[in-house]
Amino acid sequence: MIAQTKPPATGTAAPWHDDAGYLHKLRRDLLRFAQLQLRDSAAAEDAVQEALAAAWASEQHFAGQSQHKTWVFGILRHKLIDTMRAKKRTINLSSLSSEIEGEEILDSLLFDPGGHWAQHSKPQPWPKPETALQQKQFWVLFETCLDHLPEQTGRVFMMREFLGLETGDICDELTVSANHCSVLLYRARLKLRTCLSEKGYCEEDGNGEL
Amino acid sequence: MANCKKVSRLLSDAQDRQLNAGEWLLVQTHLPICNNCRNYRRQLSVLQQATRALREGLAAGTESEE
Repeated sequence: MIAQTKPPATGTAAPWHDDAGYLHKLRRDLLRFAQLQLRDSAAAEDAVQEALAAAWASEQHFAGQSQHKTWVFGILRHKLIDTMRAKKRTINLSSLSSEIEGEEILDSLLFDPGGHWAQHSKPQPWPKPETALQQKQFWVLFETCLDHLPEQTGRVFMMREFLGLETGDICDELTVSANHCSVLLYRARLKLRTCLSEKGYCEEDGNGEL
Repeated sequence: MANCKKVSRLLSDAQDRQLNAGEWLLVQTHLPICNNCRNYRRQLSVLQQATRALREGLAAGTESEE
């Protein structure tokens, strides 16, 4: 449906307007991203629809598909921020503090009483980012682990890393203290790396050992 | 004296704000003697670049149906 032909507004119609394969993949990738962020498939669908409509209406020109894709993702990020604000998805403070308290336990699992990494949780070497990002297995595990983040922790992490918001803005938005915000981000990163490691991600990956 | 728990928190904070001089010094004196925290720093940087790739729509996994 989004691949319907539309008369070019100018003489230089973007080629991807008619590339059904590209549009299909673009839509799928946008949806995946929106779902990770909102954890609500109906809301994700709406945000993607609006982003595509806005992109469609624009007459901007791009050097190629990847530049176009990055631009559409930028539009989607703005839509997601709007969606989150409109829904007043404020943080539930009691569930937040229970998440934080629950995580004192995480500390005692990851670190010994002297504050050193516990034997079983010592960070193992990972590939360089440029290598990791080329591995399909990395992405499968990464998205699985993102889905496993506790709700409040996950939301703060996504606002910071996916929507690119500054920490101060996130704290204001959710009316939590700067310290809470940075604790939540720290927990999210600890949990992600622990989750990936527990699922067998390490430098000598590629053996498919899970 | 810095320990891994503290340094791991500071390495995370450093992705969100500029560390002050004292914090920076703690990290810089700890990393050369701690392989674990160096590995952890690499892990953080993988996570950061992965989320960046996802949000730009450039994740390698997105080409999986080719």
